[in-house]
Amino acid sequence: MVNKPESAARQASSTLPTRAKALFKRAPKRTAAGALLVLFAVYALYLSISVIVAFEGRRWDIPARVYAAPLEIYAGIALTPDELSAALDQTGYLRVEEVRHPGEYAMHEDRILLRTRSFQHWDALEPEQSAIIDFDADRIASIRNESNETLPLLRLEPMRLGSLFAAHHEDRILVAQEDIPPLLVSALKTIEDRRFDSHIGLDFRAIARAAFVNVRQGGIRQGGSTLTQQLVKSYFLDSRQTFSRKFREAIMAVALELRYDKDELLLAYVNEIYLGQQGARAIHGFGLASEFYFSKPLFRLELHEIALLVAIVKGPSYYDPRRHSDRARDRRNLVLATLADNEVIDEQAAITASEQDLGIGNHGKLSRYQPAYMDLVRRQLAADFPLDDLATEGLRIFTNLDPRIQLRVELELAAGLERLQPTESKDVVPLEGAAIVTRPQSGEVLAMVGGRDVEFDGFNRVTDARRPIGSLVKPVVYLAALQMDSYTLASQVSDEPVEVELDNGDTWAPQNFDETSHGNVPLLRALGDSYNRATVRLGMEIGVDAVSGLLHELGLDHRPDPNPSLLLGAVEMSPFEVAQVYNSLANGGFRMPLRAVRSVVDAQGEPLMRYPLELLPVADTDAVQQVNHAMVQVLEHGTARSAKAMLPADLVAAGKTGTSDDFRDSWFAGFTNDHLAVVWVGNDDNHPVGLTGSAGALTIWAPVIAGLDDTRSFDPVPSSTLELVWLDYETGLGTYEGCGRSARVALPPGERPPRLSGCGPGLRELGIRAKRWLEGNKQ
Amino acid sequence: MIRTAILVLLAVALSACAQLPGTPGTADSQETTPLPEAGSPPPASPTAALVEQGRRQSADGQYDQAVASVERALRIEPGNPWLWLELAQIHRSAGNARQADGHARKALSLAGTDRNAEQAARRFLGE
Repeated sequence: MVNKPESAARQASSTLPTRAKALFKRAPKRTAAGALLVLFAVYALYLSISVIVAFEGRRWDIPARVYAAPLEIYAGIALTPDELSAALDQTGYLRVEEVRHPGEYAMHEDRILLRTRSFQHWDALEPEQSAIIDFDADRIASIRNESNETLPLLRLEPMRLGSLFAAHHEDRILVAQEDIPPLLVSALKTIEDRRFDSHIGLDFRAIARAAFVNVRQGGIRQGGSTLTQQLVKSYFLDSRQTFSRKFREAIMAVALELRYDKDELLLAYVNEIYLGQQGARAIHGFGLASEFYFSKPLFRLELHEIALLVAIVKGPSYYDPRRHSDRARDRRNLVLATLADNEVIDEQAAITASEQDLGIGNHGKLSRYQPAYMDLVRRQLAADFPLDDLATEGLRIFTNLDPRIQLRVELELAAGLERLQPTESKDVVPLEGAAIVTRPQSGEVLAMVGGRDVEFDGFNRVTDARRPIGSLVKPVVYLAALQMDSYTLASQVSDEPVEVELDNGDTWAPQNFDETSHGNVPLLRALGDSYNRATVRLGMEIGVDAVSGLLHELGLDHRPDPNPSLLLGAVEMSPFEVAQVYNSLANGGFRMPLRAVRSVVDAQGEPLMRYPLELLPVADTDAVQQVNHAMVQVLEHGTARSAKAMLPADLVAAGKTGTSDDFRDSWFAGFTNDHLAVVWVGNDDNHPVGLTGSAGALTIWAPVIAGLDDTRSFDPVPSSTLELVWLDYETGLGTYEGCGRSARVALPPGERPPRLSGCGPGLRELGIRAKRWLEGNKQ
Repeated sequence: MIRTAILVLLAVALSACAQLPGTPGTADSQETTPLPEAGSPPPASPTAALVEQGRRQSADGQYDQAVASVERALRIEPGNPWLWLELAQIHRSAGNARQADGHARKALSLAGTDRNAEQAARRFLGE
């Protein structure tokens, strides 16, 4: 029994060659043909398998989708109807006269009626919801639902950014069958493949026509490829015009047609086809192309936009609507005319659409693709996810990017660099810059711009441009001093010439910026006016080691060499690292890792990872509060006082200017209660820009901050172990509000210095007190 | 009858995890938002609504979700020491002592002259 199959197999193997020999004897020609046929069949099978593998692979290779932070609205938030409308537009909401469906909104002066789409957030499914949003001036006054009940909070669907694509740089946004506009389907068939519905992957009539043209002109010129053939071609990224390739392609196209139905093939085509290029990033599929060219989702496209995308299929580079708008327009109009000729659309619609602009350009709109921010997303996720998973597993990544702030920073950085660029070198080397905005109390990175060209996908200056930080280091020097009980902001330090003996035997004699000494000055003014000599003297007293160690504690990933020159900022840091250190200051001495990603869910919406707010107390909170008060005075009376004119009159902010040797780098780092921003301006080749921190970076920082509607004044809660006093900025002596250059700062109790003579509670002070008392009574 | 029972159960469940005082409200307290009373009608303040949601999730053992809810509240009112204490409490319930401690210290640093918040934070820290 057991032996039977074996013997049968032996029998078979012995009979096969005999039969073959017999065949050869009988009809050698026919046998050769048969063998060829077998070979061909094997080859065809091999091709079929490889194309099906490619098809299935693509079907499941879904790059991680990245989302911005969702807008959460509530009564009282600073948001105008126009701003909410812009935010809704970017999320793909449609503005209508009367709201009927999810994803629509209507605007009536001070009211927005809205029907949200349901959205699966990291933590919960936010259901579909109707809302009536009333505005009062530039704030939301109330949010109610249909039944007139107050909604405490409404979390909107987040804006979708690009995706994290794989090493081959193909980016795409997959669309589902139901999101493909029927018009796109008919247009594709009409223009690219008339007999798509009936052919088996090859269109012999089209091939014959193409062959005729090609023979006449010599070589292969005309395509005649079906959509299926184009799909195959795209999978194997081979566009050589050879007969063998065409032959392979034809077999594969037939194999796909036999295996899949027309709808599946069309869906694959819509998601696969190459439609544009942005640097190293290849734009694939109509879903992404729609966002790339028109900044809106595919299902929102109008006729002229669909026609343009269909026009581009033939040659995304040749018909690039950004670079060759005339060619693109001509071909789009040809597409429209052809659609009308074939009665897909009516004549009038074609004419109207032909008169439309191309509609390209994101001016005033946020690009979906944020290379600098995406880069940070990748870095943060690298520790927890293999790169391959990010490119293929269909993960959804929720980030902290705030679209409104990101756009603001992009525009201000570009405008600022344009203003600051010296005219004579305009064409030689463009001035560069970088900026990052965080939320100090959560460590969330809200916006990041890696250079003048926002969409450039390469060197990320925010994370990788390490430059000397100059005076940005000073708050850390003063914090190190204030953490020792012997110093307060009122303590005096000498700004007379100072000489420091270096390890190598040299003597270092730092200069002040204005090359004069200012005698004895309080720490408050030494920091506010950024005096080098006073700072070096103070730093040498407390020890450079303490400063180096504190920088590390505050968030720098290493302890910089404790050379005396560290006291004046001879340490190279990226804007990101500066933001990390200053975030700890703005956050009252609590360090939080700056985070781009909030959470990650898998393709089914199941939570995979969450990055919660983490904090670590790293500095004495009272000392931090004193330094922060001094940094408020930097903008009040110190080196950044010019910012006053660029900020809202009642907004209190804190910050510090930084300028590196020979004016190579211009820095400003500063914060309000709700936002921290760091701006760097410099040249990539490191040659001097000739700008101080206040003449350069500050002029970009201030408008960025001024544009944040919902940012509140920096006003730290007075600690129970500090008291708020008024000091004279010049001398550090006690004074009264409104008396000379007075500064409100926190001091440890019992450290209040003697009062400045000649400045008692005069009439003015009494007036202020009386006014305040009256105002208090009114409320 | 059933509604009352559910309300009572809910109140017990909520108060079980609310070791912090419900309403600070002394004369010298600052602009901090008092935490909602257990079992009270849906709060209109967004932060109160989120805190309540966080407490429900925490009571169900959904600590990650609870943290996420209170973090949403903190984006609206980052200077409110009670919200930081709320987070500290969730972290402690989740067995994350280090973060619980850090968050309570943050609450303490924001308490200022709000005695109730200061005491609550100190109590939490065992000081």
